[in-house]
Amino acid sequence: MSAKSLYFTRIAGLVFAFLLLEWLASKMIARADLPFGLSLVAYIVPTLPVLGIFPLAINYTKNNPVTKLSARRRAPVRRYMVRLGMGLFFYILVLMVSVAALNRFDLSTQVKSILAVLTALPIGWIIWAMGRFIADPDIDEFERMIITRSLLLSTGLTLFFAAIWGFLENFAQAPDFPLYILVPVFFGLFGMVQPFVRRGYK
Amino acid sequence: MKNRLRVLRAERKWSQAVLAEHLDVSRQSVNAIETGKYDPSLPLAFRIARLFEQPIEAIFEDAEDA
Repeated sequence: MSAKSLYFTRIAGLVFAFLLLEWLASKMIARADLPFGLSLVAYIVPTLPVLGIFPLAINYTKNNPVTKLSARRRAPVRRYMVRLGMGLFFYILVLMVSVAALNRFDLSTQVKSILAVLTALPIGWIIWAMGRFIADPDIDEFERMIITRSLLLSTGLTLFFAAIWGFLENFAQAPDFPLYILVPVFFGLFGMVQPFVRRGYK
Repeated sequence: MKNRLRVLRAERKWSQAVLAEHLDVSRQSVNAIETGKYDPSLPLAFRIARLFEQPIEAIFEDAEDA
């Protein structure tokens, strides 16, 4: 199996694991008699496959025989991975705290709204980090183009998917799709479309 | 954009990887430029010209309909 198809398979595996865990968690969380500790676990576990992206991405940029970038050109990747790591860490932290607070206290709608926005803030940070990554002056210009095109393609596909599901909900009573899952859908697609974008320049 | 990069590289008996190292770009960039599927930025085009000690227009073909 080539390095590229191995990478593709692993990314697809992570996305599949995430969606499966998320689905299982949603079933668990829906149960009213679930103890608080278990619901906390149900919230955290689905985000764990996301962490698998780190070793994968670092290994990919380091050993990728196709791109083989110099240390200077790899630095933007490292900076991005560090920012992504910080984002994911704070996301999980804020999510845990929010879930705990929501379960333990009878909060007002205002406080709940603030918690909701706080939980989403690290996601905003990650999106900012992606923007910084493609604007990094040290990034290989061809890689920048591949990543920019992949980001646009995955954004478009995510919006397309959202439109399809939205109409399915309206017209055909499809189950409610939690909007925040669009974020991992987007990240998964971003990983999956890259080999195809690359193929266009061979 | 058509160019003579592959010829110039062959004259020096460099692999794509060696040229990529000289230009501090990815090996894939060199391949995409050689096949005319990716046009390098102006700074990179100047780096290529400096490396081969030739003017840019002697390396890249200025096709008017491109």
